[in-house]
Amino acid sequence: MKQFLPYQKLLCSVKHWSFFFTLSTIAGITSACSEKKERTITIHTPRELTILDEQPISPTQLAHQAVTRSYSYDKPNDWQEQPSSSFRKLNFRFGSTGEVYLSESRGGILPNVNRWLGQFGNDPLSSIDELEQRPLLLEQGYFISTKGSFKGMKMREAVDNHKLLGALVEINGELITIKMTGSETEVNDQQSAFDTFCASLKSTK
Amino acid sequence: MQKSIVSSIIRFLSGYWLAVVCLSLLFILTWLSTLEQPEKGLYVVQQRYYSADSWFVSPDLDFIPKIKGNSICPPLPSAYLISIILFINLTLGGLIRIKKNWKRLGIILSHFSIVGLLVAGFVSHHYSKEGIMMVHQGDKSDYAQSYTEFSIEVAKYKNGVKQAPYVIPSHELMNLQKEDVLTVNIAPLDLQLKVSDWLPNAELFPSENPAKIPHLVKAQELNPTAEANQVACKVILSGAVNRSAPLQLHGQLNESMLTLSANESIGIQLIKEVWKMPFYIHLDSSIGEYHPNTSRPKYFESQVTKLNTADEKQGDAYTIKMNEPLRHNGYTLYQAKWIGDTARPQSGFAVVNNPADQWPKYCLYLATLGLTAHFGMQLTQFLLKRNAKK
Repeated sequence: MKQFLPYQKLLCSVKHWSFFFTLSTIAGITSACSEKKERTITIHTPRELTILDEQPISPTQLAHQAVTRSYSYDKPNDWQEQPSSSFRKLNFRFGSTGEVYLSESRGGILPNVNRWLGQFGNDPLSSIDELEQRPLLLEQGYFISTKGSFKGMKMREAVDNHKLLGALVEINGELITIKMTGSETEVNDQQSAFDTFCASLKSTK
Repeated sequence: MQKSIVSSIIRFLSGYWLAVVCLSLLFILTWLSTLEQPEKGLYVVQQRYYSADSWFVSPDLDFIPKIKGNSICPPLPSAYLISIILFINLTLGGLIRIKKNWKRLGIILSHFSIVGLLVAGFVSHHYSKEGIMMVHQGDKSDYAQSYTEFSIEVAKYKNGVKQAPYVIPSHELMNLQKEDVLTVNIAPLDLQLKVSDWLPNAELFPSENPAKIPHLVKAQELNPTAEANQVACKVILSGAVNRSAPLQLHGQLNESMLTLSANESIGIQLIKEVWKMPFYIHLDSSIGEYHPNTSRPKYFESQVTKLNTADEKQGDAYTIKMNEPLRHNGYTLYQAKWIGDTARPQSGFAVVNNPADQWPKYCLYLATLGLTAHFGMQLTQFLLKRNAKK
């Protein structure tokens, strides 16, 4: 059996290593040289129609948005960040009673606004045109303010002298809501902080 | 002379040392790509190190010194190139170098099982498709969408009804550079599109004159989470729609509608690539549970019915759990997502269509058989010799 001396083995392996580097260099130069800046293609056949084509927005797109959307914003100094949850993508507290959270859902702007109004014992609106409108997340945002006796979800009893500031926007069928609630005094103090937060909010999905 | 050159090349390509170098390089690439992954993201690193589009890779790591911004580490051959060489090496080695006799049958089987693994990897890389199908409980779906790859869909609408869309596939788009121009002829629609200014990740901005230009885009750094990247491009149309001003497309924007006549319009959209499945999945029930105070599911399960047509009433019932996929007709559906905090729960099925899906398993069976046979024969021979000595 043929015996190799150590230097022969090393030489042998150098030969093999250099083979790869030569190959990769040639491949790199070739691909760089053959790169085309302009190409033309022709498409003859369409894709088959799917259930997606019957919908205004696909559940897949919605799920992508729900999973991949993230937010950047300027956090007001008085707000303390809280852990997020499946219902509250962004979650803050302020003062002794105040909270602000951002949720992603569906169901339309008007039904959600009316649900909020109902939590304060106020009459529902008939149209979203009655709401203040200004940009939010690059789209048309709708803003609401209401006050009264507040009974939110999971609350056993209503609390008096509370106030709500809300902002809602629909993007590709997905509803994004920002809801601030708390005692009327504390919410009034945070009105400008709420507006600044909404103006600074960006979706970076 | 000519014969000796050919035989030298064959000896070189089938040699043991070439296999050693190939495996060493694969080890080095795995190590370097693992180090790069946390910063650059899995998708980008996979594309750089392992994709068929890259033949060589220059590692970009902080601990590798740089001179004038250029890494001192030479470009390394990519895993794809090495795998091709390793395939040639093992095939030639198995055909030429290994002595063929019954005693070596086990070794030969094991050897070619590794060749089979490389072939399975090649087929998966080039011919498999992967996407996600999201279905609400009570609904059905017949399509999957890519996680990361965007396509441009152009569809005609007649009286508001969408016709079958023409697709500029992702493989024509995703490697475009900003300065590249792709001209696409869609003869049945009498349309020509010039796709330019491709950005692999871009952010949308409101323009100062929304009536004239609704949105502006700005290039962003690639997000390590490839799913989060939103591509953008400009399209100039000619033919049935003659529009000299470029149309700005972005992954976050809805379909842009262009009027052809009173009854007809054209819709253009940048959309995660869609592929139609050969069957329908009806989600009968979707149950799951989140980890406390998180939106991360800890358990999910879906009862589904596979239907051959949209109108079929009774199909085949399956249960899909975390590690129990549905396999049918070359398609594998794994439950990858669950959204339970909506009015109707949703299941997200990772859909994989991979012709070589089961090949690695069969190759490993073959390797096990070969090695068991080889070592069994060795053990038998040893025991027989020992008994003979006694």
